[in-house]
Amino acid sequence: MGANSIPTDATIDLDEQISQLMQCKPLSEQQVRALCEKAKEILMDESNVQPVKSPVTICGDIHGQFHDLAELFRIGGMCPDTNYLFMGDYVDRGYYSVETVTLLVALKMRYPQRITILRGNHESRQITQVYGFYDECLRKYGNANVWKIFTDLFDYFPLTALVESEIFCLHGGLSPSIETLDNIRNFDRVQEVPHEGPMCDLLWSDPDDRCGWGISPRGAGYTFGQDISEQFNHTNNLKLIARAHQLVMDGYNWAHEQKVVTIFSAPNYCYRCGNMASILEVDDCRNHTFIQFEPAPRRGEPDVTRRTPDYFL
Amino acid sequence: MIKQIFGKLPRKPSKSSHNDSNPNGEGGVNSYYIPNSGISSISKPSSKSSASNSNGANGTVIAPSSTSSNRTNQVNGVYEALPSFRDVPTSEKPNLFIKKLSMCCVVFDFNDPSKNLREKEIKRQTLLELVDYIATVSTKLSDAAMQEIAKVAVVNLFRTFPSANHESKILETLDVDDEEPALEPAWPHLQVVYELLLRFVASPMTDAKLAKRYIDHSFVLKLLDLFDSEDQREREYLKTILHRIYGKFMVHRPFIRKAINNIFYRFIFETEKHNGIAELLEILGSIINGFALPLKEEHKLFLIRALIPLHRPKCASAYHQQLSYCIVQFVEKDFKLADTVIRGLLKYWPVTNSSKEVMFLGELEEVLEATQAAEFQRCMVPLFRQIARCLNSSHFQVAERALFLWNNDHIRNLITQNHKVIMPIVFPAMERNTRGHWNQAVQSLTLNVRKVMAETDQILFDECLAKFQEDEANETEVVAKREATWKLLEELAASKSVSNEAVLVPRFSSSVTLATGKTSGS
Repeated sequence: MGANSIPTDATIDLDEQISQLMQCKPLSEQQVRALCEKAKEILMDESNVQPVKSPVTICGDIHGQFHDLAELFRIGGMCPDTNYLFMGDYVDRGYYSVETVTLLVALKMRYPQRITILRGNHESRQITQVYGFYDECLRKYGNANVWKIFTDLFDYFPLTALVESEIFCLHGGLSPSIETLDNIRNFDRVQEVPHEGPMCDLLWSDPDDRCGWGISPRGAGYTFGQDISEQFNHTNNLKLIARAHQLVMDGYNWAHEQKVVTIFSAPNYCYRCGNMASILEVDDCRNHTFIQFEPAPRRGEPDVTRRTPDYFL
Repeated sequence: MIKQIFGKLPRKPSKSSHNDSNPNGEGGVNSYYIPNSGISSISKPSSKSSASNSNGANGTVIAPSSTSSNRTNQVNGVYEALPSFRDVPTSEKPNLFIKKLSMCCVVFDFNDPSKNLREKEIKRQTLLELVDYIATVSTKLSDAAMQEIAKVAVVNLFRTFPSANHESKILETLDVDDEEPALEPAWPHLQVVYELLLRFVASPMTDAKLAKRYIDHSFVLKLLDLFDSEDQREREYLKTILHRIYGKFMVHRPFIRKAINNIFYRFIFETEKHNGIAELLEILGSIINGFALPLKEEHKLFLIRALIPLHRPKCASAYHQQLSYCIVQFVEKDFKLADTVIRGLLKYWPVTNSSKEVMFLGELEEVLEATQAAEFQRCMVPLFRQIARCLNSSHFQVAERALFLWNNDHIRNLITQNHKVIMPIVFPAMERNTRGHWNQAVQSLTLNVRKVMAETDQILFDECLAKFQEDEANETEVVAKREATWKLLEELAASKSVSNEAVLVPRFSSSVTLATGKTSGS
């Protein structure tokens, strides 16, 4: 199971697949099917609040920007040399959702103890049909089978993770129906992301400057104020909530007097937003270091930021 | 890199670009389909040089841009406002009108907002006066006046757009509504010139028989070229003006139709990039509306050669609403065209673009609404094979839209009248949906339609069900057979490699046919 065990046929196959994926070449439908069947077995045993040890590098949204994920690994170190925790939104919007999510699942299969992949609000059937992953699968495989295989697998992704019992990691944010981590541990997560309720909130909520709970402009989840974060962290003996879900120009952004941090790992989001990306390294002494990075040089993808106004040049 | 960091500053707030995903189908759907209707309020100085743009005037123009910009510099001291129309006697007004028009043939550089501020304002005021004058003038415009008005339009409006409009094929892969349109920096002048041209064309004081000397073929062609402008405000004016010209200059009508046709052909077969297709189609929608019956062959050919193929380009969603309107106009004019149109839609049916597929289904519904029984029967078999595929789509919006066809009274009647043919085609898709479509709404809509089918003809319904179950049982057999064939093939290949002999491709492929022949025979 561990990374240091003697290579078997299966791991040799997986290593080949990983090196193929690292070149941004997708696997065949049969390979994806076999991979996801096995991944399901590993993921179903993980907790809704999956415990994670330090050192670990925590990452936010990727959104199919494969070349930036490759850059992330160049900067943060390749798995398993570095342990990773990804907080969801691997697919949609970018051009390489298939390659991105396949690579992460393959890494999860190869190094189950070294990488944790949480579920984001885009790891859902309905959202992927509106924001690109579905059509990308049609384009790359000629039918929707691979989309179905992946979205079926997404139902098994853990919703949250807990690093060294002190950093609570999840895609979106808190929920008015959740007070303790045990509340989360107790529900059945294997389903399409519902339109409301605690599971939906964890994947959709955002921190806000206003106190208390607020209606989210997204139409799902809630906004939560500093008072809510402080109470939650106190109740659950947490130091920090690390989450993703929102574009932040520097790649990370503190909120609620350092009780909450947003991490976003898709630089120049949608090939146009001009933002930095970042990852958070938590070392074995639980020190935090943010590493920022810019888009990887690439071919074959548009860069709409070309229209930089003259007065900046 | 610096570019990218700075690039963030004038853009929309970050949240809005990320907040648009929404799990409640409708919200998400909306934010996906409705292109940003509000044009970004930030007007970015474009990198386009309008100094060179002001060129492109055709032969009828006296001042090429280089001299006109020289003139700009020369007149720096002498570019003074002429007296107002109110301050001169009536007899002087036509002369003053022409003088003011000549003044407006000077083009200023808007790329540098700080340049010629005073002159720009004088010209703007003069243009506004001209617009007022032409609206109130009560005598026919003189030949000289018309010539001068046309010149103002030619010198100010006609310019070639930088090839940047079409530079990167790669941008095709972007969603159409993803791109922020560039705004024309010279708009404060352009807008008033357009207004002047519009009033001129629309004025009852403009005699088309005389004006056609200046509003000639070359003028119309140049005007059509401007439809590629990225600035939507400009295209809006062009649309109104061209429509007016089409209305007023009967003699130009065939020419205008042909020129628009050519734009469509170039767009469909060559560039797949043009900013003004929607506006051109909007004009055509109104033109088609006015076609006399029976339809001329020319118009039917236009439907078949231009309008139907316009469904093909990837960016069709940018103008689909207007296209769909034109198509439906044709079918409503002449219902015999319905089956040609439906077969055309089937030919260009999107395979890997779900949002486009949803649009096709919407258009199909409108066409079917105007379709009569005879034409329906002529195309219903291929049509319902496609609809069955849509019903079964994993994409919830595609499946929903296909199921909605049964909510339409006219269409449901057509289906019911022909249920003996249609039910067997769509039944398996329905059955598969009820058994396991992931989306609840699709499941329940399918159950409703299934009920309608059962009520129409219970006996046929039961037969279809039996046939479905039989096919399902056979399915396992077919799969087993296929696997056996592969196994045999693999054994054959293995035996070849054991004999250490290189497996030649032709030999191998012949053994394939041999092997499949054997198994299917056994």
